[in-house]
Amino acid sequence: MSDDPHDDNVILDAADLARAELDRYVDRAVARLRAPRRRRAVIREELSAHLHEIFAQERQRGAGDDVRPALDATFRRFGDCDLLAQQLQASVPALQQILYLLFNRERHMWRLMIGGGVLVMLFGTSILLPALGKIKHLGNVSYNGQPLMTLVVGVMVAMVIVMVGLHLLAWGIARRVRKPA
Amino acid sequence: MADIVGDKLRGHLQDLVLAALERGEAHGLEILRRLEAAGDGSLRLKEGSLYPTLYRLESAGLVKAAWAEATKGRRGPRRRIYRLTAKGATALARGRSEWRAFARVIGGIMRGTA
Repeated sequence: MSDDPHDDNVILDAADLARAELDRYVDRAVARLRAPRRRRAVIREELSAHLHEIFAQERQRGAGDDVRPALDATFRRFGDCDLLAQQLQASVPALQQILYLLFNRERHMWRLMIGGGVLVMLFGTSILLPALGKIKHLGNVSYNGQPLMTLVVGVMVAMVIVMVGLHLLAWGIARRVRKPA
Repeated sequence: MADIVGDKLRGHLQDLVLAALERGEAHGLEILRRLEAAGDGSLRLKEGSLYPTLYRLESAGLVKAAWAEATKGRRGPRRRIYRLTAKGATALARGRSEWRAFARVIGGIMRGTA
């Protein structure tokens, strides 16, 4: 056993760095996973538990204070990180992937807002334009008896729908612009 | 005996995991230990690849998982314990029967008796 009082600190630091490297491996495997947050958290914790156990085994097996061989052996046993990420993605049920793409607030909400905004605007416009056209012709063409009031209400409702669509669109664009890189 | 690795195992891993869990509930590392012991050291599996298989089995309702209670003297992230469900046991029985038929047919061809 070493008499150097600093030895313990050196060993602890190296082990901490090694654990940080294990955590980075897990982060990389899970980071791009298209799955609900809860599922990602479960996967992260479980992979982390397994990796740390392998690392502890490999450290016991190896001699000396150098953690690098134990880390290398750990990664070798666990397998290629990118391949694991692909396999994990393939294990996520299709429905969960779709829900993630639709409702993942951090990454994809802006897409939903822009898409929804455009659809709502188109729907509103499809009511507004024909109604405006009918009102325009009311004065000089004999009309089929539809009360003017119905058309005016239709135009107003359509305008509200278009405004909601515009608002969603602007909100989505603003979210996209503000999104951190 | 040559090691059985990667692609050769992939198509069978689900059934192998179900078979390992038939002996009782276990966490990931223990499942691997059981597989390696049962395979006489010939199974060479990348340990990370066990988890996508477990998640697929869990999504299909063939296994159930729960976080382990904290173990005295053990620190760090929690383990998840998997156990076979009734549906999983049925799937395992079906997998065994298919495997026997497969081994009989392919074995016959490979021995040159077909």
